[in-house]
Amino acid sequence: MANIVFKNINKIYENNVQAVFDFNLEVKDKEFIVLVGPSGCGKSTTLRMLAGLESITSGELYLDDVLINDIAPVDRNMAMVFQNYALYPHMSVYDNLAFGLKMRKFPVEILDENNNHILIVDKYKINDLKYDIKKYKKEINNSKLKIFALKNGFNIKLTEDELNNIIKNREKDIKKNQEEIKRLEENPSTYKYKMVKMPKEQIDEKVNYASSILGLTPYLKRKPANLSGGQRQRVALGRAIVRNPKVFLMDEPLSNLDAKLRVQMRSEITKIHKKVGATTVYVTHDQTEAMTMADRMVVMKDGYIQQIGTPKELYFNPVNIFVAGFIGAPSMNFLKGYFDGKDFMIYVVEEDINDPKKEVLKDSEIKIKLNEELRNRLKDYVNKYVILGIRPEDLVLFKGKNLNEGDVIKVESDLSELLGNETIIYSSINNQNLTLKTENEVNGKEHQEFNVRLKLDKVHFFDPETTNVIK
Amino acid sequence: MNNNNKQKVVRRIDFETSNNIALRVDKRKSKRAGSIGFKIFAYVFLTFIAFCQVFPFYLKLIDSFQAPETIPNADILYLWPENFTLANYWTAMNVSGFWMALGYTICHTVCFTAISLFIAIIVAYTLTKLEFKGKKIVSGLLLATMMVPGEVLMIPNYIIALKMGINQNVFGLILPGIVNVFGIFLLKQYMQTIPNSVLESAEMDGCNELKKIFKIIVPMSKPVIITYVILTVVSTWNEYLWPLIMQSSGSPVQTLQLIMYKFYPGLGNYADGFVRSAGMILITIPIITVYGVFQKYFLSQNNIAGMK
Repeated sequence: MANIVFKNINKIYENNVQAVFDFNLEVKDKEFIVLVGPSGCGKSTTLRMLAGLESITSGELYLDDVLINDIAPVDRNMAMVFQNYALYPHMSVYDNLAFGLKMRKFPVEILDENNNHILIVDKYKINDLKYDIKKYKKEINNSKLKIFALKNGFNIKLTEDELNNIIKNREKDIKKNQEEIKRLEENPSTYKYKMVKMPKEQIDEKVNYASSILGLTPYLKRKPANLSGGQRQRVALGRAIVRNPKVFLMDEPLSNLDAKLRVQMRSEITKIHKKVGATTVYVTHDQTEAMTMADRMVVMKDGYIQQIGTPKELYFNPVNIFVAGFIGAPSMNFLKGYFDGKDFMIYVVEEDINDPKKEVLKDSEIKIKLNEELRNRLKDYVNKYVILGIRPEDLVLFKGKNLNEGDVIKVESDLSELLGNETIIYSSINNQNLTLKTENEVNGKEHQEFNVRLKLDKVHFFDPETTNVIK
Repeated sequence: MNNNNKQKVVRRIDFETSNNIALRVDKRKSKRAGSIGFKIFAYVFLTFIAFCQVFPFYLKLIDSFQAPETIPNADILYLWPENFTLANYWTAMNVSGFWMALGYTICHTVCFTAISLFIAIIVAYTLTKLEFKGKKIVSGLLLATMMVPGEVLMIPNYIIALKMGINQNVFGLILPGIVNVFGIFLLKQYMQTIPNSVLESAEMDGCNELKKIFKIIVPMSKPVIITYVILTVVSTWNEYLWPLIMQSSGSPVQTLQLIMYKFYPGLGNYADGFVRSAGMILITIPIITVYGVFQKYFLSQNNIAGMK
């Protein structure tokens, strides 16, 4: 069982750069969550905060309803796979796998002569409560100081009443904690246990199990330097599996592998996830990886969550231009245009002579006739600038002669790429790029004019100002 | 007019023709590095230098094996002892205070190397892998102490040693200079190549800082630690000036370097010279052994391979 809850998590680095803004997410047990986004979007930071390697500036992080903001990485019972594997080069594969088990101590219950549990006073909880009391007392003192400062005419954000309220509440909390401590001290509540290192045989067993899952048994005595990239990656995975953690964390684990191995390891990780069944949080910048592996995806940009959902949801119902463009390869086409109440007119995009970064939109005569449903969708955008988005596979080469149906446009090809089973044609219309995917065989001539039909039921419209989808 | 002339001076390079020229390069002149000619030159040159270094040492070695009653002929270069004997070594070892001095020297060398290595590891780790305020200032100050020559520190060190009273025992040799800044920077430079993710992974595996240092960092920096050990052992073993200063302050501690003058038992003839040679060889043997054993690890990089 492992549920993770992120509540309003923020991360501000010491140099005042904010990497993550108000991150909210609930990860269910046994779920495979993929955080995906371009580099620098805060996905790795989020993962490292979850692992405990990075402090959380504000917000709350729960693992199984326990607040783990300030808990050390060791005690979170998570295992992480790093991008560069982070194997210990001086240890053999076996030692690499066993290291995490050797370092840890595990609680073992102590039984009396009749094999019954011995009840003792829960010292940890008492210490915890005492720690809280100390914290509350500090807060009270702080508030008292602030009140004193207020009376002497200093500027402080809170009013006196609010500060008094804080003091009152904290005093109540202290009383509650003290009562709780008294109760705990009088009634022994936990089983007596001791921390024990794992016996060698058990470590052996676990390492052998993990290495058999990953096919590493023949290499147990080798050092990481004598392994191939894929094998090293598997050792890194094995190190996580051996520990039997509540949560798997993976930080771009496949980006150091070559393309073929990456595809292979992708399916292997999915299989292992199904076998082991632990909650997994996976970070990647590769949307293909995310699409193929995820139960749910979290798309991030510049520290903000853009959209959370299953790969299908994200692919077919993106909420904004960023998600629409990020998911899917080749990415979605965006046509700038004008809705006049009936049709969508595609703008001619020209460079501004004075400022090369700006562009000038000019009217053209190319129009796409929209059906009733789309007109309805755009009813708030009559006589306004909108962006039409359509995926490359929803554009079809049109060889018929009736060009007046309204959903057929004439485009000019720039370049075509043959992928074997399909061809990607890069073309343009009114200076706007349009990529299309086709399974037909195409003559790879450049600057050729041909007709393309849009599947109007697959079209998305976006608001150019908010970049959100128009529903 | 002047401007026009200046503009004409600038010659444009026609890259297409320059490519054609490159194809017509004289093949005899354009040889790749590592050609046989260069190899022969390198071997001859290196052999010559090695010979210059080793040959005097070899002559001393032969000298030390000469029988005491031998009268060497000045016209002959002895490449082999006339009458082979180990008697000179026996004489040298029985010089008064030899074993005591050996004990002190070993104690000095081992303790100094071990303690300074420990300090260097901890400080280097702190400076590379931990984040704290003023880190740059601290490492800057440490680096600045390297600019101060050791001789300048001798008088203050001497006074401190006297005040602390450590000049009466072997600590007077060990403690001054125990923070070896050179060692710290040597280790620091190497530790910077160890990726942080390894340490993070160790942290998630349940290592605290000390375990991180001794289970991960130290084994991974084995090559550089061995380099440091060799350099420090050699320099500490050979130290002469500081032990002499300590001795002059009334310290009973005598190192091997200080008793070298005693390898002159006054046997007459040329025998004293042979004993002195044997004494010198005796003193150098431990260092040569240390070097011989550890030299294959000397800054070998093969340990850090396999990180990616």
